[in-house]
Amino acid sequence: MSLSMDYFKKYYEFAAEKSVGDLKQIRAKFYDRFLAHGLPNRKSESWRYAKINSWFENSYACPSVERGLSDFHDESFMNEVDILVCDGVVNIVNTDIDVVVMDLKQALQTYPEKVMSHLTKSYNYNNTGNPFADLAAAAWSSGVFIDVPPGYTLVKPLKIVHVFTSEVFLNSYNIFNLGVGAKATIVEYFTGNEDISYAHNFTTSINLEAGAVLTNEKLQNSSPFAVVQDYRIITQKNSSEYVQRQYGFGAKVARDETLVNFIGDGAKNSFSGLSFAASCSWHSSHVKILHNSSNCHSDQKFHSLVSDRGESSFLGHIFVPKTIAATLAYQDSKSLLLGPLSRSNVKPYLEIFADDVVCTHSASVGQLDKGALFYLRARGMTESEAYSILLSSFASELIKDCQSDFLRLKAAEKVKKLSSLIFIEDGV
Amino acid sequence: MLKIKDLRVSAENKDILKGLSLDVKPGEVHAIMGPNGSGKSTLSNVLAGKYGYDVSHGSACFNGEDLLDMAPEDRARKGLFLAFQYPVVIPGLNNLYFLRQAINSIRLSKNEKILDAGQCLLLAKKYLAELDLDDSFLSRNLHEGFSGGEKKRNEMLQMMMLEPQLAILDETDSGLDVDALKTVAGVVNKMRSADRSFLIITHYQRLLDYIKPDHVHILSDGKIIKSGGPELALHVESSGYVGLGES
Repeated sequence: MSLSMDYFKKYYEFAAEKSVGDLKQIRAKFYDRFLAHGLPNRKSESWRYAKINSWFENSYACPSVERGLSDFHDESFMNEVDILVCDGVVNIVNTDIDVVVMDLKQALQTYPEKVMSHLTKSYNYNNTGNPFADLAAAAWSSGVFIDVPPGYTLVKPLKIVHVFTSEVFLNSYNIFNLGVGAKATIVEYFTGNEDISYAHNFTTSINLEAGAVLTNEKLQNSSPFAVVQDYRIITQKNSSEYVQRQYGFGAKVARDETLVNFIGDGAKNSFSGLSFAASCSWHSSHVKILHNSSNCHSDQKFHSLVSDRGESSFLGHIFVPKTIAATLAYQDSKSLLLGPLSRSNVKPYLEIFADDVVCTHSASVGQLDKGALFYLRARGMTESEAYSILLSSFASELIKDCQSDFLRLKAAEKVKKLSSLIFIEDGV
Repeated sequence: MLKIKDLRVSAENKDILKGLSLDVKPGEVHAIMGPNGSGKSTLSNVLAGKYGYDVSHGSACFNGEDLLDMAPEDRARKGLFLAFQYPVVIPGLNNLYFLRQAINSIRLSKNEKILDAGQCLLLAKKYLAELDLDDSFLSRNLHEGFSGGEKKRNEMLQMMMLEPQLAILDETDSGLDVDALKTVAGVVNKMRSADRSFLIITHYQRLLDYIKPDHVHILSDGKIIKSGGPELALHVESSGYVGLGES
């Protein structure tokens, strides 16, 4: 039986019932487009399609507005957290932050123009079709609003923890706004109880004014039963710089999609992503970079580890229109298949109409290097140690640059743990 | 220390070693020379335990134990070291971390105290100067971006740190300039001792200008066809391999 669009109605109604005015209207516009577009299918998503039905086998609850601070504790990060979002309820834990950080609902009252401007931008940019991004903007019941004023440098990283403790379907819309010349680092950690099923559908609208610099690091450490959709829309003006490092573990289904629009000269953008699709999980990373201004630089580097019956996919789309000059665009993706039934699909997708472009791309899918395995064993390491070291080395190329100690150690720990499990299960 | 008897080995249904016998005693340096395709690298790989070879006959004992029955890591832990002809590149694996893992794997197997990062660094630094390498060598990823000479020197660094009983040098001299060749030879000569042996596999005499072997063997078509002293290597250098099997 195919999944009905009615399935999503209660989540939209839950979020929209108290909305009024412009917000109500734009929620309705997003929802109408979500309904008109329909769910992804083989035609719209072709090679990276995964059956949607399996995503929503459960009838998830709407997020409760009554929940308070979670008693979920996950190591040292919880002690330093600035914003704790528990099942969608936003708690500003650190009240000494000297930039604007608030629940999106509160921001709607305080900064209505900024919030509506982001929603309108999301509506205009997402016109090529991620239906779940439309759903998040239509049915959001939770969100974090961060606004760093012009010229301000946030010395310490802002740390956000999203925790899931109940079987909810959470739609969330988030806004990160950096004024002219502002600098910040935002670290996000997503986690949930290991034995429960939940779904979260996030859209984050990120705006960098001229000269702004944002480093955004995030790690998904989801329950193996979770369904995770994360969509980021990034607008970069003149000479702005954006760095995104993402690490994905767990989840039944995880889709990371990013749309970057360079709307000012000399902007730079660097993406790196590591995912580990273990067991039967399905991980997808999709980046689309619109080089709509000259002298812009983009760099993408993605690694995926796939074990058992897991599947990963990567689509790196670079678009350079004819009138644009001095573009630099690099892309590199590598997948390591760790089991005979593991699958990975990678697709560099370059649409270049300009002449003044330097663009490189590479994509590889392969297995663990047996020569390297032997080399390590010939130095006294056991087969399982050598196996674990090789997987950790593959991952460390992307983990080593992570500025957040917590995320870097957590990512390394997850890779090591998953590597040892594969070795035992496969009896390699 | 190492006794090989009538070893016959094939790979992908092709016979490579066809009855090789060799006896290496403690403290001895043996050089094995031979033309391309004679089976030199197969011998070193089989002794180190590389996959993909089928041993159909014969034996190889290391200090009285059946070497062929051991996993590669067990051979290393018993004191066998192979300096690879083509050391593998492992991006993302820090060289010092790798060295520490290797040393501690072997130490643990002997119930010896493992080295912490600082101790391992001090030990590595002690040997780096002898190899004309600076400290930054340790912070690089394993063989990533290394020149041919640097790779071979890194093999020597590992050998110095792991202190094996039997070191097999598989064409370590290939791709080395004269200065690097002298450095490698200097390491081997320094490590020579009454209870440590070397098996040096090479095409050419030039490494043996700096390391004086006790025995030289000519390997051809999977068999040792002639054995002798250092003069045999000089003969190969002047006259080649032709005709050696007939004498």
